[in-house]
Formats: sequence, C-alpha cells, structure tokens
Amino acid sequence: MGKEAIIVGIGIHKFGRFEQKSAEELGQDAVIMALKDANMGFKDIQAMFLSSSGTIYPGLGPKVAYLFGRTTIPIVDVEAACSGGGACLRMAQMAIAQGEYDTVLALGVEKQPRGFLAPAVSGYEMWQALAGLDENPMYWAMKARKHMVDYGTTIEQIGMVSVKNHKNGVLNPNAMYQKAMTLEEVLSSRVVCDPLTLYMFCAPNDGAAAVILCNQKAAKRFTNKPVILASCAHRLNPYPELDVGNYFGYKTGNKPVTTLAALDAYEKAGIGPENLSLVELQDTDASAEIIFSEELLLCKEGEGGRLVSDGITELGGKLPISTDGGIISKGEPVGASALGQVYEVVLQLKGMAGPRQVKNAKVGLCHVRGALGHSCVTILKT
Amino acid sequence: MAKQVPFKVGMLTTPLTPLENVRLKGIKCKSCGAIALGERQYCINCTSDNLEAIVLGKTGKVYSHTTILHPPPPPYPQETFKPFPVAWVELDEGLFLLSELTDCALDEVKIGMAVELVLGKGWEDQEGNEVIMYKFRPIRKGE
Repeated sequence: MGKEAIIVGIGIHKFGRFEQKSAEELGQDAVIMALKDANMGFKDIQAMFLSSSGTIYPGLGPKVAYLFGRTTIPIVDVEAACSGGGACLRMAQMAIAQGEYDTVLALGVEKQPRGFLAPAVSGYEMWQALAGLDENPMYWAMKARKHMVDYGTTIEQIGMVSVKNHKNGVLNPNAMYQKAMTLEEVLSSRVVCDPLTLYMFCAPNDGAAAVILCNQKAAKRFTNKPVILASCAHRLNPYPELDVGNYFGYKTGNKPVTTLAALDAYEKAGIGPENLSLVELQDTDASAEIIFSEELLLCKEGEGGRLVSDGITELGGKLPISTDGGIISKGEPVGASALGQVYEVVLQLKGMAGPRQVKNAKVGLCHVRGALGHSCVTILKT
Repeated sequence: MAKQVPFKVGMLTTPLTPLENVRLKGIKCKSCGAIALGERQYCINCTSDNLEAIVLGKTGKVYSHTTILHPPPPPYPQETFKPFPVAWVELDEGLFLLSELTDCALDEVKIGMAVELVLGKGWEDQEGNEVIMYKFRPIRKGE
C-alpha cells in the first residue's frame, strides 16, 4: 500500500462562462488554490499533467506553468474527451506509484463555445455532419427512450434527477447554475431531442480544477487531512457503442465501458459499491444519471429510476449522487469536469462541504464518460 | 448528368446505378460472428483478420428513436432545415445503423416499427458530384 497516492491539495476555478479570462488564467487560478490548500509553492511540483479537450490550442500545460515562472519539470498534455480529467489524474497517480516523483500536479482546463459542440470535437466524420447525424443529444435521447420502454423508467424520474441536481447546485458557489427548478419546469422546458428537454442537459462551459498528489511520505509535509486515491481506472468502450460519434453496432454481449472501468476501480481499491458514501457521475443529461448508476452497479439493471424517485440519491439519502449539482448545474468544462468531481469528493471526505456535507463520508466514487468510448472511474477514501 | 459517389467509400455495393440494386456492405467475422458496416481489415469486436464480406438486406426495425428538432451545426445547411426523425435501426442481420427516417411523420415512429432501406441523393460534394446517402422508411401494411 506504500505506493498509494495521497491528495494533499485541491483547487477549482468556478465553472461558467468567462469571456475576459484566458484558458491559462483559469488554470492558474485553480493551481494557486490547490497550492495554498497544500501549503506549497509551484517549485514544489515535480511533474505535471494537463487535461484539455483540445478545443483551444495545444501546449496548454507549459503555458499555465510558465505563468508561475519558467520550469524544467516534465509537463504532458492529456486528451480523453469528457474523461480527460480522469485520464490525467491516472497519469499523475502512475507517476507517483512509479516512484520518481514526490509531488505531481493534475490540472484540467477548458474554454468552450456555447451550444452544440463542433462536429470534429466529438469525432464525427464530414459525411455525418452533412447528413445531420451529428447532434450528441440524439444518442442520449434514444438511450433514454429505450430505457423507458425496457424498464418502465418514467419521464418524471428522469426529470427528478435534474430537479435534485439543480437543488444541490444552489448550495455550490462554484456551479454555473445556482437555481432550483420544479419538476414541472424541467418537464415543460424546450424539447432538445424527445423525450429529453433543455433543463435535463448539461451545457459545455469554461472552468478549471487542480489536484496535487504526493506519495505517502511526502504527504505528511503538506497535509494533516490526507485523502487517499484508492484507485483510478480508465477504459474504452468495446463494440458496440450506440453512442456519440458512432453510426453502426452489433449485439455482442460486451459490458459497457462504465461497468468495465468501475469493475477495475472496485477491484484495485478493494472497495465495492456497497461501501460508497457518495457518488459523482457523468450527468451529461438526466437520463444518463439513471443509466450510469446501473452501469456503476449501484443498483440492479433497470432500477436506476427508482434510486432517484425513492430519494436514495438525494442529499441526506442513503447514497447521494452529484452533491455539487453535477454537470447539470455546474456545466461541463470537458477537460476539467472529472477533476471538478474529485474536488467535491475530497471536500466531502474532509468534512468541508458546508451545507451540502454528507454525514460520515468515508468513500467516494467519481465517474466520467466521454466521446470515442472513454470512461474513467476514480475511488477516493479517507 | 452528375457523377454519383457513395457517402463513404466501401459502404455501398457498386455500381451505384440503378440505385434500386444498391445495398449496404459489411463484414462478418468468422471468429466471433460480429458484423460491422463497411470494409475492414480487422474485426471491430475481436481484432481477428478472418473476415468475410457480406451484403446487407434492406429490412429491419426501429430499436430506438428521437427527433432532430434543431438545426445540426454547420456544415449542415442551416437555411433548408426541417425537423426529421432519426433512429437506431436494427437490420434483420442484427446490425444497428443510425439513420434518418424518411417518408415518415414525426409522431409516426414507434420502437419495433418495420423499416426498409432507401438510397438517394443526400447532398452535393465540392466537385458537384451527387453523394448517395442511405435512409430508412416505414414499411406500411398493404405496401
């Protein structure tokens, strides 16, 4: 266990739209906060990984670092679509485990335009764009409809996910939307792709989040409230993937990537879904929370809708999901969102989540799922 | 007459005229049995190179569906946009295919609905060629 990475510092730049700020500045703010949290200076960082979806320009890692002054430490930029932050954290974790570094920084930064993502960002080919078969929400709408028909999941249950996450978002000063919504408001908002409505979706936006990892020995110098990175798994989706970017598939019986990454993470951590105090997952849309809670094995297949309608996933419920409001409230700065989840879970495990604190939080899980089949599952414990 | 080209190389049988004889092409893996659309060197499911080319049939059913209500981002032509239904179609061979549904009212689509392949002009490419694209339409009783 001596090779476990310890989280000694976390920082965040509020998720939202910040036209006056460059991507580097967003990243710098998150790093300053994480360095303060860890009582260290940038010169204490020995290696750095930066996650961005590549919508801005390459080389963002060094550019953020140089704002603190020229450095000669190795810095590598990582891209894994909506799972980029998780992939980046895994790189940092491996750098610690490998033994060469005592302190490693994982930083996620994103700046994005409003509205649907440009076709190339999600990996579409030109003919898909010309055929109009390149709107990400259509895939999620079709998944939602299939889930409703197969398992009796209701549109009200899907809407309740959005209501819950917006309610939690009110308590999170770093969320883009800090506004409660009624079920009626969610269900009657503009239809994006039927059966899903506007207030059931997350919006791409800007933001940054930073996590500083240490090995166990070095961690003692920087924190007296260590949070252990128990496992961080990254997998890609097997065939078929009836999701973003794809246009064909075949029933193979393969498990979906979220389940594969979760099984990896549970096994490496020696922790099962029954041990979790809270979960952050990829609520790209409200139905995704229901489907992913099943794929993360938090409940049986088809019972995800009941988790929300029975109040299990509410703040104060048996297994709160997205206590920070999820990306439905925070918005999704693609390369930074996974580290934003880690930020929330670390706060919770340290008992510092204020009005949204989960009682006796001991173990938390973070899940992201992105284009091209990427998914990461991270488990943190006290 | 404009030259006709497929929406993507290797996806359609040739020649492209007459259109009613054209079908979607795929490969079937002799090792694991998985089917994929188009030409491939390796099986998308198991990486085997023991593959056979197949021609896919015209018919299938709607696995799930939704509606494109808002114009897809450019380069999709913005000014001519009208909402249209899309579906994951499950072909009789078991292949899922993402497709626009044509000749079909928005509220007509149901999961399990029988559909058939139609090929026609999708758009023009930069050289002025007619790009042949696939869609599916409902098979109605009595047709």
